[in-house]
Parts: sequence; C-alpha cells; structure tokens
Amino acid sequence: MHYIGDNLRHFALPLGGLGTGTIALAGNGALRQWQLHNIGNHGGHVPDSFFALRLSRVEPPLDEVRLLQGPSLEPTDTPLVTDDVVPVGERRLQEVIRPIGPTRVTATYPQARVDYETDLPLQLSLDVFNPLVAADADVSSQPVVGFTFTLHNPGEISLHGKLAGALQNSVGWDGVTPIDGVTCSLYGGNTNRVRRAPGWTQLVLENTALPIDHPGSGQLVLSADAADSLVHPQWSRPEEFVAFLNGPVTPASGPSAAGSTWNGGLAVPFNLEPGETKQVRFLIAWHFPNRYVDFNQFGPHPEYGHSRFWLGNAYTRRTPDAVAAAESFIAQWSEQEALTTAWTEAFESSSLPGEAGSRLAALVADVRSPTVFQTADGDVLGFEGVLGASTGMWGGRYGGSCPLNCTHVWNYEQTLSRLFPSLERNMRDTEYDVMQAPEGYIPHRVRAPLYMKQLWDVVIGGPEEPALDGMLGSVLKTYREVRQGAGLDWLGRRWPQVVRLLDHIHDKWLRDGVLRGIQPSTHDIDLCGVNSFMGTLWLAALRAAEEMALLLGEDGTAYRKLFEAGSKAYDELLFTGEYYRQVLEPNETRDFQWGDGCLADQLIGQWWAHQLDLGYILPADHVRTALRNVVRHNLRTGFHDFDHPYRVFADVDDTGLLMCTWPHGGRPDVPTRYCDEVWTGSEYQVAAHCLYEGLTDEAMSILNGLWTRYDGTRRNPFNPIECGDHYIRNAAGWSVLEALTGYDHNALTKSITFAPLAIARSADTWQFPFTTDTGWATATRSSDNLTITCQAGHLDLSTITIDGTNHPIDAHIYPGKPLVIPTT
Amino acid sequence: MTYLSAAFKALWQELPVLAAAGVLVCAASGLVVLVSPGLSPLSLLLGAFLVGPTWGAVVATTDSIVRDSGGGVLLLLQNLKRRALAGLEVACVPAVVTALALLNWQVYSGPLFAVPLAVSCCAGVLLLLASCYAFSLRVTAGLRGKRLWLAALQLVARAPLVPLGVLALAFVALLLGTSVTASVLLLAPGPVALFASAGTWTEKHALHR
Repeated sequence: MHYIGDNLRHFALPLGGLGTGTIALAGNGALRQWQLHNIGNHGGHVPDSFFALRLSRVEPPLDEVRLLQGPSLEPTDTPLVTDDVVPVGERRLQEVIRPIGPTRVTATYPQARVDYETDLPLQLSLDVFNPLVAADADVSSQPVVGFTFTLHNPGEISLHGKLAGALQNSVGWDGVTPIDGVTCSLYGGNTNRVRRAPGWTQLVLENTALPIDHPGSGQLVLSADAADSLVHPQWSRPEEFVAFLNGPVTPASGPSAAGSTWNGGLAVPFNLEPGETKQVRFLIAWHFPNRYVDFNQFGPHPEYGHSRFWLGNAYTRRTPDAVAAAESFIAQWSEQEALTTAWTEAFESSSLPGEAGSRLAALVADVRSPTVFQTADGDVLGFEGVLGASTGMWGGRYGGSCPLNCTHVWNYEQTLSRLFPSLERNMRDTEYDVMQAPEGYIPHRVRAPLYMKQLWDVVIGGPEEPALDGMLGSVLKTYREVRQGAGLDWLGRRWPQVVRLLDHIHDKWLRDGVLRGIQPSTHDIDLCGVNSFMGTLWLAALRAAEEMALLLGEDGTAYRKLFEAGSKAYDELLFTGEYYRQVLEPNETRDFQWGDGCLADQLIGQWWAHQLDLGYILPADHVRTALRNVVRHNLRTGFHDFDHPYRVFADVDDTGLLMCTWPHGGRPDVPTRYCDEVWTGSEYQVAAHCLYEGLTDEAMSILNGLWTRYDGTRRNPFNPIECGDHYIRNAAGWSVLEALTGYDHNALTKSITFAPLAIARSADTWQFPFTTDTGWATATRSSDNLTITCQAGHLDLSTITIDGTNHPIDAHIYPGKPLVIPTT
Repeated sequence: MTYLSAAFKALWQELPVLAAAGVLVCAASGLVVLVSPGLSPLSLLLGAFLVGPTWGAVVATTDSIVRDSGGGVLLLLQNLKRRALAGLEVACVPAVVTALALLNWQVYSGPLFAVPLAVSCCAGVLLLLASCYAFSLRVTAGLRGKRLWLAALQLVARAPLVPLGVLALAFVALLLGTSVTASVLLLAPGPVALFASAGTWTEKHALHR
C-alpha cells in the first residue's frame, strides 16, 4: 500500500518483535517512538540516531552530505493521537544535516520501502523489516530491525561515497526522560566498542558501570554488512559525525561522563559505476532484560505500582545479549526476509477487496506493540493498550494502559490466537491457574508477578467486580484454543475449571432462562437487566460448553437445554422487530444503561458463534435484521456538530460506528458510558459479523470509514487508539479476514474450509493467506484447481472444503511442495 | 490484604451479634451435652446435626462482617435459615469420620485394627483443621463437595497457623469456661468464628498457582 504526501504525516510503522519493544519508521524515513526500554511511550525519542549519505563525484565536482530523511511534516490537530509529533531532536538534526528530499513509502506490515526523491544524481531506497512468521513465535520475537539500502547510479559518470548509520547509546535510559542531544541525567559510563565479524562490522553500545539488575541495563548493536566499514565509535554532536564522513577524525575514548552518553556510527564506503546498483545492509539489535512491574495495577494498593518486582523478558532468554541476537538474525537474514516478504506479498497480491489485504496485515502490529509482552517465565501478558494522548487525563502518557490480560477487552482480540496459538493458550492457562477463584469466577485482570495475591474478593476497577462478559469470553476462548490446536488433553485438564466457571455464572446470574441483575461489563459499568450483549455471549458460551462436553465424551444435554431456553427467552424479551434492546426491571437504575437504544455490540456472541462454527444462537432472520439496523442507525458520517462529553475518536468529516444510538428517542439522562465514542474493535467486530451474514455493503461501509480515518493523514494506520495507543480491542479485525474468505480451521478434525465472499474473488479465481496452528500458507484458486502453498511450518490436514465441497487429502504439506487439488 | 483489623474492630462494634452467636452455639451444644454427655459417636453426630447448622450461620455472619458487608443480629437469624443446611453439610464430614474412628476404637481392639484407627484419627484431625476454613468456603464462597474439602485441606497445608490458632482460641475458652466461669463459654463462639473468618479470607489467595 502506498503512502504519499499527507498520508505520511501520521505514518509510524512500529518495527520490533513480539514482546521486544519497537522503533517506529516515520513517513519521512526517520526513526521515532523508541520503545525498546520495556515501556511503551510514543514520546520516547533517542536523538542522533539516523542514516546519512555522503555522495561524491570527481567531475563535475560534487560532494554532498545528506540526511536520509524527508522534511518533517507539520502536525495536525487530530485529537488524542501523537503519531504526527516531530521530535525536537529530529528538527535539530535536520538543521545540521540537510534532508535528502521528500519520501514515498510503500508499506505492508511488517515491511516498508522508502523511496527518496532527491536532486542528487542517485536513486536511493530503503527496505526495512522485522521478521514475522506466523505460527513461529520465536522467529517473530526477535529484537532486531533490518535496513537494506539500495543505491543505483542512473547517470553516465561514476559516483562514490559513504552510506552511514548512527545510533545513540541509550543503555541506562528509562524510555521516558527527555534526552537533549547526548545529555540525560540517566546517562553516564556508556561505552561503545567495535566488533568485526566475517562480512560485518558491529558497533556494540553498552554501559558496564550499571548494576546487572538496573532497569536500563542492556546492550544495543548497530551493524553494517561490510567488514571494512569505517567506524566512529564515540562522538557527541551530529557535526562531529559529518566531519567523520568527510574524512578521518579522532574518536573520543573512555566512558561517557555522568549525565551524558556517546553516539556511535558506521560508514560503508561505496563506488557506483554508471548504471550500477548496490545494496548496503544495516541492522539495529537490542537486549534489555530487566522488565519490572513498573506500572500501577488495579485492586488494593495501586500505589505499589512502580516496584522492583522483576518480570524479565522471554526474548532476552533466547540470546545472551544483543550481539548474539544480531548474529543469529544475520545468519538467517535472507531466509527470514524471504518469509516475511512472502507474508506481506500474500496479503498485497490477494484477491481481497481494495486495500483490505494491507489493512488486515497491519493488525499484527497490535500484538507486537508494547501492549503485549512475554515474561522471562514465558507468561504472555498484555495491557489493554499503551498510555498515550488518549489517556493523559487520567493515567499518564507512557507505560501500559490498564494492566493486565483484561478479559473483557481481550474478548475481542483474535489475531494472537490465529498467528501464535501457543501464546494465546498461555493466557488461558493464566486465567485458570492464576486468576480463577475457588468460587469459580475469574477476575478480569491479573496482577503481576503472577505469584502475587490475585484480585479475589476486592474491588478491581474498570469495572469494579469481575466482568461477566470477560468470564463468558473465557469459555469461548477455551473452545477456540481447542480448535486452534490445544488438543483434547489440554481441554480435559481445563474442563473442570470451565464447569466451575459456568456453575458460578449460572448460580449468580441466571433467572428464568436469562442473565439478570448487575452484570459488570467492558463498558466499565454495572450493566443491568436483560440484554443481548451479555445474553448472546452467554448463549454462545453454552453452545461452546456443549461442544466441549461432547468432545470429552460427557453429557452436554444440560448446556443444550439452557441454550435453547435462553435463546427463546432472549429473542422474545428483547427483539423489537428492528434490533435487540435492553429490558430493565422496575427496581433497576436507568443510569449507565441503554434501554431502548441500539448498541453496536448487541450481537457480539453471534460473532463469536460464527467464528467457532456454533451456528445461530438467535433466529437468523432476526440477527440479520438487527445487524442491518445497527449499521443504519449507528454508522455516522460527519462529526462536525456532534458534541458529547466522551473521548473523540472520530471527528470532522470522519465516518465511524457509534457505540450506541437511540433512533427512536429514550436516551437516558445518564446513558451507557462511551455511547458516543467510536471503537475500532467494535467496528471490526460488527463488520466481520456483517460479512458472516452476507451483508457485504454494510460491512464495507464500516471498514472503509475506519480505514479512511486511519489512512495516515490524521491517524496512524498502525496505531488504533481507544484507551491508549495500540489498543488490543482492535485485534478483532482478524475475523474480517476469515469472514471475507469463509476460512475456518479446526485442528481437531484437521479440516479447513474456504468459501470466499463474492467481493473476495476475481471472477472465478481467488487467493489469500491463511494460518493454522502449525504453519501458514496461501490458497490460490484457479478455474479448475486449488493450490495450497505452504510458506512456513507445515500443514497437517485431512479435509479441505472448497465452496461446500469436501476434498479429503492425506498428506502433510510442507514448504516447496504445493498441494494441487483438482476441483472440476 | 488482611482481614484481621476488621475482626478486631468488630469485637466491639458487632458485640450484639457476637453475643447472640454465643447464645445460639451454646444452646445447641448444651442440648448435645444434655442428650449425650461425653465423647461418643452419638454425641459427635448429634453435635454435627445441632451445632453444625448454627455454626454455619454464625460463620456466614462473621464472613459478612470481616468483608465489610455488614452484620447484625437480623442477618444472623436470616443466615440461620439460609445457611443451616450448608453448615450441616460441612459439619457432617468430620463428625462422621471421627465417629467412625471412635466406633472402631470401641468395637474392636488389638493391633490389627490399630491401622484403620490411626488412619481415621489422622483424617479426623485433618478434617477438624480443615473445617476451620471449610465453613467459610461453603457458606460464603459457595464451594461444595470434593472441591470444598480439597480447597480447605490445601489451605491447611499452606497456612496451618490459622486453624491451629482458631482451635487454640476455642480450647482456651473451653478451659476458662470449665475452670473459671461457664459464662466465658457464652462469649467465646462469636470471636472464634470472627477470627476463623478473618483467617480464611486472608489466606484464601494462597489457593492460586
């Protein structure tokens, strides 16, 4: 997908592995949003870290040093985002070194290509990526970013010069304290050293003066793929680096003084004959092992937040330091770049409609942002998002937003479960082993470290009591993990805990076939009465429980009876003929309820049921009618005159799906919280559901509105915001891919299904990527056959269903050996 | 988080309910002593039948007190109606096991029967300790059956001082009641239940991984 002009203003592609932190590639080619130091912070900037070019020509004389960045674009006034903020350090740098010229970016996560438009007699581009291989969490969790510069001499006279990379030694930094040049009170004792490896020159940035358990302790590596690279290991001002590019200089020696650090840089000399093309590779690797519980947690004693409880990082257990991480990556650079390229190309060249391929590929950024991390013990923990401009008024602008593993927000998340099922399964293990109370309930947050007291019998916060939707989601997710390859043994171990959970819900909330009473929900309120938001989750959970019971050879009749009675009762009580409303008891408060309103998420359980192949949980025609009306009433275009007291996630000419509307009046004086907001996660949820129901126009209206809001001009395509940046609810979007392609995978039966919608086909052909628990592949349908090309891992399948026709197969599918299934 | 401070505060603030609890428990116990004096299988079973439900109601009330949900004599009386059956369920288990041990001791003699006797006695002691947790876990947390007793035994293993402390408190009260003045017995059950509740809810978190 191409980004030019204004689309580059908010463009910030986060590059980094799962749980490693990220550096963002800005639209002008600069590196921004340094979030490597175990904390999310879009304002984090490490100055003097850049790429530069010295280009020379003997005759006619030419000798220019240019910064490999485009001119910085001025920020917009978009509320609650900071992706367009130009760091002060970047502005200063551009005053010292002239930017090379405007950029044009082509990006599909996690790859980008930056083309520089320049007045120099050279064609230059940058390809940047971090390895991503679905179903291979280790490869996808590497703390590296690879940069490949391609230089081409289109003229008739030879050119020469140096391509250089510079990186500040930020070891010891906390990821937050502003850095002025090389000055920061957290610096001191930093040293840079040169390491020559076969074919590569490395600059190792460290601080051996720091205690080993210091939060900022770690290592950075800047590498260039030339054994004879010129090195300027320690310098302070960009002017010094320019001098180095212009000729030999004397580097400073010794550790940096207290309160300051060293910058370091490498320069790769090159000669380009007329018409010649060369490539130069750089890489940045990092290693910051000391992740602490340095965030305020919910429950009693939130003031304990910034503690020294050590969590560590899984990625720093895989390699002993950044040098090893770099070496390991370099050894497999080509292979992993090819795999990553195959992934992005599979999306770009798919038959998915419009920009859907690139947009859906961007969803993976959600789970590889600082929102999610994996501790040294291997536990996968996730915030709701990253504190930022949308949370400054209550929670600050850096760190994790609303820790941890919040069940009701993660209820929407699907991406991690499809790409890395083992990591998602770990979150279920935490729910059952750590979070579940003896009574059976599961508090909606976990406290870290996991051996600490959990949130039993205490006020939690957001909402106060264990969220019922989160608990119902846990049941659904358990069944999802089984279908994603967790296996029957795992289910057998978890089943008694699922039963306890369902028993608790049954005893506490079920009356006359429906859930009643206070039902704490993701809207951070005490949801009351009978409502289809909680109701459909309950019905889907019952169906999932029935299926799980049957898988284990147990009697699922009780769940089936509860489901049938509940389905009938909910439909009779709530369906207005137009949509599903909320019915309150006379003695229940109207505050924070929606009553006769039209809630966007009113059929969320049906969305779940479609993903888990559980069938309809409410009458199909009512579901379709309600969904159609959700889009009709809640999808709004134009927010100029839309005043409300909530957070503004859509404004001016945007199109967005409102959380709740009252098309026929009756809006309570104190309506359900967040009703006037637009949540990307809900939009993806409703859009995917519309696609499952065949309501293609409605779905694409929502998606196009969402994608236009996040097209780079006023918001970052890789940063969905809600209660913070990189908000995980957005990861509901993976279901859009599956709904568009009619893709379904069941690891238990080793079966996959394809039934693409008409908009995901080109005439009678189609192609797109898909994932299983053991690998990923592309499916390419021609007029007379289907080709399954495994790209990574392997596929273990026994049945492939194409547009309703079963094709039994009896073979594992490996990379390099495509399976062709005749379909005529 | 500890519930001990709440328990200490309640000693004065909830004096009426603690006194009422003492009257109820002593009345039930007195009836048992009247019908079947001494330690026998019959007295144990009768104790479970009469004292168990009362104790269940008292613990439900003290649970509510230490968890900041309020107390009061009215609540105690309501709990007597609502939680009596749950209390009986819990009390029956250690009572039946200990009664079997006593029966074994009375009916059979000789080394051959020492093994089952020892096993029954051990089980009885463990269940007695576990019951200090089990009442709260049953009447307030809603656990039942195997899960209830496994959870209670797990808590005994992780935090044995709580049941030992509760039993010590009961023993001291019994000692004072029989050696100084029997009126102490009227005051004892309330505080014993209160500290059993506080201990249970303080240590419950130990049940996770």
